[in-house]
Amino acid sequence: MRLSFIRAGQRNDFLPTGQGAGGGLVPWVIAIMTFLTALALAGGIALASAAGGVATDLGRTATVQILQANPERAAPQLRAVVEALRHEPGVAAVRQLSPAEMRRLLEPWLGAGNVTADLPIPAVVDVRLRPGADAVAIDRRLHSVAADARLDEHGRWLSPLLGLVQLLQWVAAAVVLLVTGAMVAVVALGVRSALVVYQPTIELLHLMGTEDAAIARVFQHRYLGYGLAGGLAGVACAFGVLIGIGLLVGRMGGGAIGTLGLPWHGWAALAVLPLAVALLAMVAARVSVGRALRAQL
Amino acid sequence: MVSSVVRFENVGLRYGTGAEVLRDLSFALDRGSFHVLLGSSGAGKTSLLKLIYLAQRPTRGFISAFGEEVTGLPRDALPALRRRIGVVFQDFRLVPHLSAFDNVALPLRIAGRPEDEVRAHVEEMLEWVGLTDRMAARPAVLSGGEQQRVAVARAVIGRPDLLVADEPTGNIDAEMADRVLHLFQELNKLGTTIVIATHDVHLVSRLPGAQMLRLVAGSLSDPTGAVRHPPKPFRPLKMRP
Repeated sequence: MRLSFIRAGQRNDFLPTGQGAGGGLVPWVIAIMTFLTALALAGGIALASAAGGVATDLGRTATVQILQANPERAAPQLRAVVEALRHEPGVAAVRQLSPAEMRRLLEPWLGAGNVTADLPIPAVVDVRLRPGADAVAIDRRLHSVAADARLDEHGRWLSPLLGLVQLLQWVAAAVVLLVTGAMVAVVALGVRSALVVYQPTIELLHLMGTEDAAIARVFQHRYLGYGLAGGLAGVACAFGVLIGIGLLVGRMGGGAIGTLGLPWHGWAALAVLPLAVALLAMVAARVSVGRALRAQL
Repeated sequence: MVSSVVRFENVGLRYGTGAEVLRDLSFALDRGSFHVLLGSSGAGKTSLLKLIYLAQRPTRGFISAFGEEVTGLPRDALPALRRRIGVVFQDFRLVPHLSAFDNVALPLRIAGRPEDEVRAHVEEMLEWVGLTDRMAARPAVLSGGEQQRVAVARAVIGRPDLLVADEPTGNIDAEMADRVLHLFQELNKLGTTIVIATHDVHLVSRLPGAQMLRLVAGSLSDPTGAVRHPPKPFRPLKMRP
């Protein structure tokens, strides 16, 4: 059975608009909770994306240094190392850094003009490893052909950072779950409050033959609207904050912080968040009303 | 064959752990019959009406409505039966934020009638009870008599199979009371079973042919035998010019 007066507009809705039973506050509370959820969600996704990117970029790279200041003793070792690396099955690419490249890398640290020809600079080979490559075994084999060679796998110093990032992701997920639970509780409390305030009207509708589903529909439509309004407001605020943070990070330049941008699927998740919040509010309202009505005759 | 719209068998009702407010009620309301329920204040009239319009389950005995045994009926089966019953509540129970029009329209909208049909019926009904110029008014700005007329209009608009009215003329003047009773009689001629509860014994004299049910301290007394031996259908009231 349907209730045409519910569809006919607010004038005929048995719940009055914009007043009573805490209904006016519910969209605001939902907006605040959606804002917090959006920030936690965006933070989690951004961290996951940044960690994934860094792990992909750096986790499969390594550097081989020839720790020998004497160029005459370093040169044969460098050639042996490059040759050995080219025959390693776990190595995808080998590139020896030229002295000019080395100077460019050192200049930001030592200052322009301070990297002179007499400065002892280690020979460096940039290595890209294949997935599953055993860096320790490669290092061992390099030692056998060049005593001063040392393989520095980038993923080794990255793992504690990735662990921290993973922990932060779990924290973000927990925040999303907790805020979602609180949102459901707020909706349930709002519905219960409305049921108490409008008990005489609801009892009357029951006595006139209105079915529980029709009464619940009124509440679920109302809370769908609350959820949509609050969700849109909360996500709009979160968008503003995230864009602001993005601009600030952009001004700070590159480096690890520069990789903390929100990927497209993060923006997409935020875009559908109001709908998810609205549906959650609707379902929570429906369940709360259904339970309360079943306790009546 | 005349079938029962409502049948009570040894029905008793108590609230909580208190004493029984209704005891050993056994009677039947036949289809198309007209009843006046008499009883002093506190005799249990409203409690009995609540059982009749399915707002309450008895604590003992059996009640059937429209051929369905309702005592143990699951609650999701009740709305269909309730939609066949019109009720005029003693305290009117109008929805406070709905206009007189929307209050009267409620039963039709609950039944899913088309909006143009709703509008036509409600306007006609409000004209009948003299509230054409008060259609948009909310209950708070209506007088007690006007509210009662809205309540009566709402109860009868869906042309129910059973009409239950608790003191339906208590707040309106004699002329309007005659109109309301005439409306009930016309409805009754169309086959609606009617039960009017009142403490006004003079009302009975204005409804010749109505069967009398008298409640005394929660029990049904039948001194006239009217319940067991109902009289022939009554002669309807003549409307004043």
